[in-house]
Amino acid sequence: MPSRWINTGLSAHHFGYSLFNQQKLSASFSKQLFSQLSLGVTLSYFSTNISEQPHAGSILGEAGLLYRISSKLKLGLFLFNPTRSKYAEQLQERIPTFVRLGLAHDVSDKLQLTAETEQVLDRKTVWRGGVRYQLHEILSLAVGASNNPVYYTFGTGIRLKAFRMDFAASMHEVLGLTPHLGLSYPVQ
Amino acid sequence: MKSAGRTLIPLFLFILFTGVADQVFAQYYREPEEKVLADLMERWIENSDADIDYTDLQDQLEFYLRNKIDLNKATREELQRLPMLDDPGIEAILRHRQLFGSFISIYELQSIEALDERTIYYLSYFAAVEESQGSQLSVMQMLSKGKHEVIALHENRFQRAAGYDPAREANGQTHYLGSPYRYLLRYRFNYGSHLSYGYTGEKDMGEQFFKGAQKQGFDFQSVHFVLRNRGRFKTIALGDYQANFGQGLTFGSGLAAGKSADVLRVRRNFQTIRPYRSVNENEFMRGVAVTYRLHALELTGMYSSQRISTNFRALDSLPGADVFTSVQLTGLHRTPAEILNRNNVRQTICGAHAKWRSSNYDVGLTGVYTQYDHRFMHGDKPYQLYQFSGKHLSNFGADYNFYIANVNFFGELSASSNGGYAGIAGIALPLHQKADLVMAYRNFAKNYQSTFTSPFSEYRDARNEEGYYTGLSLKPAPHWVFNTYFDLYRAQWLRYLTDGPSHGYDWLGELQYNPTKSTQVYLRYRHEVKQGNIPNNDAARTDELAALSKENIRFHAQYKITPSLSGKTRAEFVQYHDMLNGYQSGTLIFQDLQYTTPFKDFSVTGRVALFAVEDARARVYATESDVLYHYAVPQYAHNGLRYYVLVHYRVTRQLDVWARYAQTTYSDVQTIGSGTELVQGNVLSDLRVQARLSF
Repeated sequence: MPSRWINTGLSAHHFGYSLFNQQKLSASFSKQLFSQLSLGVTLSYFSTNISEQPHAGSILGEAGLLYRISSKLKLGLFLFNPTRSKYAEQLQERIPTFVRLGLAHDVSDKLQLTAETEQVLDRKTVWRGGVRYQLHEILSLAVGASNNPVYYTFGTGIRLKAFRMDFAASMHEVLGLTPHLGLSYPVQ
Repeated sequence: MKSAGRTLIPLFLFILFTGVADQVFAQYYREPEEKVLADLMERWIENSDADIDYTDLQDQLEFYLRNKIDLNKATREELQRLPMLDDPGIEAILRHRQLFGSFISIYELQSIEALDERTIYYLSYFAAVEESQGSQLSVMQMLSKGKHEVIALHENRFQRAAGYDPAREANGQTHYLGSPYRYLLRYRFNYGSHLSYGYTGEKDMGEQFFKGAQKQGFDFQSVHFVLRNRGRFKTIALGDYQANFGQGLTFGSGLAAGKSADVLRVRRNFQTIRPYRSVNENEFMRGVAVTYRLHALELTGMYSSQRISTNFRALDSLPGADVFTSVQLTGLHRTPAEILNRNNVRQTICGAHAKWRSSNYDVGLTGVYTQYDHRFMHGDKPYQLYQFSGKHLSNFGADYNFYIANVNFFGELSASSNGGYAGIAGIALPLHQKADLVMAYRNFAKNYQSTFTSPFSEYRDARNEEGYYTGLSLKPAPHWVFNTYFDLYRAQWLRYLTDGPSHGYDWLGELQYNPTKSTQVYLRYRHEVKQGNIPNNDAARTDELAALSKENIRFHAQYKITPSLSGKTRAEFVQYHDMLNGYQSGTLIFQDLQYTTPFKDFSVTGRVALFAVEDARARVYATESDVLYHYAVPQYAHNGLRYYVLVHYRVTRQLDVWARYAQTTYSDVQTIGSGTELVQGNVLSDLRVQARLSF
């Protein structure tokens, strides 16, 4: 919901099945602070339901920052769960805390290169790199790679007016291929 | 006036007569051909870990150095064989020719934006603008106009290896029958690329010479004769030759570069038939090959029959059922056992290839039949289960290579007569003027079998491998290049020293700065992780697999100090890790200096290298300058100091001599090598002397 003062958004996620499921209800706020700098904050209620276990829930915070270094170069920073919230007050296990730093370079209207590093607390640093290429007005191609764990991702995107469909396949060195499908249509 | 005229006229005549006024000028600034060859070779091979013979690879390059490609006639396919040209550069040259007609001079290349100064500089060694009349001359005329070259080499190691000790024979130990010297004799004749023939003879160290098993003199002898572009015959080859079709998956003899810092070099651009002039005693064809042209169709037929050296196992119980378990790849016949196995199996190969060629695409079909006169039986270890066994093998394949707009698609699908399949498919995509991408997928079944193959892959045997490769090259700013590749692969079945299905990956990142054509600085990082056995020292239990990781960091700089003095500096660090051996590091730092006199008639090159390598798994490789046509990529292991001095002197226009002395002193060992190659002491010193007569 765009507004003059601040942009707000609401979202709901559901994952899992009857024996194990997680929900996330979020409210997001974003604001362009300066001409080159934007800030976003999300607050969520995160709940986990495991069969025959008491309900677990907690408040979770996320924050993101986008800095436009130039018209072609963007820097993004994303912080997830800085408060080190647990899944629930009574549990020991904490929701992971991580920070992600990314660079996107628009080499041309058709070509975008991205690089990203991610640090999850108590885990190995992850590096990712990617190339996105607009092959045709309708069709785009993407390829990316990541370490820790080693992943390869190939993707295609189809854009018909406002409707977008993305199809990707990620290749894990041990687990093999996993397909991904995404559909989006913005509501104005 | 009169006196001035008198002095000027002879000078003018001198310049006119020699006809090399601009050449003399150019020579002053041009590096010797050998150095250019070395630079390019190094880029091709330095990423390879295998200790293989590169002479054939270098021979391909050297061929174009001597038979420059005509820029006005070169096809896309021919240009693709030049290692300094990438696809965008080739397209730009072809477009330029289409728009502006024939090149008037090689310097016209400077007006092509896609080619940088360095590329043009290297290209000027391999391409020219000329009127080639070769095909109009009769064979007799070509024979009288061509160039002859004779090369003789002598090599000696000053420390005698244990195998030369005469006492060993009395003790019943294996020993070398021949002298510790290596001799090489080469004769070549060529008229451009139209006609060439030659002879190569080589005696390796420890082999006999004009006695015993080698009564005919050289242990390895090779002759070749190749005639090109006679009417409808594109190529007629007799004697020793190399044959490569498509992407090298169905059939490809000889070596081809694997993954390297040339991250876009994935597609194979083979010359179908080319003369074999190397001293690698394996992986070539001996017989006859002909390519016949019928409009857009090219038909190649080949036949090869030769005796090869194998590890033979005589089965007493079943006469005539003797088998061999592997082909000897060393080409060394020094000990009684090696001599016994010398040329003990006959290998016969027949093949045919049809290629339909158009300006924007070509498609090919290949069929090859291999026969051995004894049964080939790999061992009975589990990892050898799917390898070829028998006397006959057939391979069939279809390959393609086409362009849609600027996008290049290439690939090959192959089958072997036992029902194994293998395929490779790639796409080369120019994303932007300053960005190029190559992606390739390969899938070689565990039961795909072949005689000679050379596809783009991780393992050299074209079987039991599936992999995804992506290479990206960026030119972010003038003089700057960033290259990167990522390759992920899996093996369905066991491999040597890998007792289970395995997986691995490697990636490379290189930042290059090329401020001038003679100055280059790069920083390169490569990380490879693949699975291998962790020995548990329990014969009853299969070894478990674990990740073996190897990281390389290299800083390299090459530069010109004065027009006649240039240098190279390198520091390389290797870190190996696995859970059993922990971290092992290797370091190599070297400094090269090369002095060349302005008229190129004398040059001296030297290197001092210091190395500290904790474990053989962290060894470091680096190419070295050597006598012309000689290539080696020595590995640096243990701790010590190595230096070499190479001198080249052009005695006359016809005679060149080279001498190279290299010495390694180890600080942490008392003996070097093992078995017959064991050397007492901590010093190894080698001398190589070569002379070339060209007329």
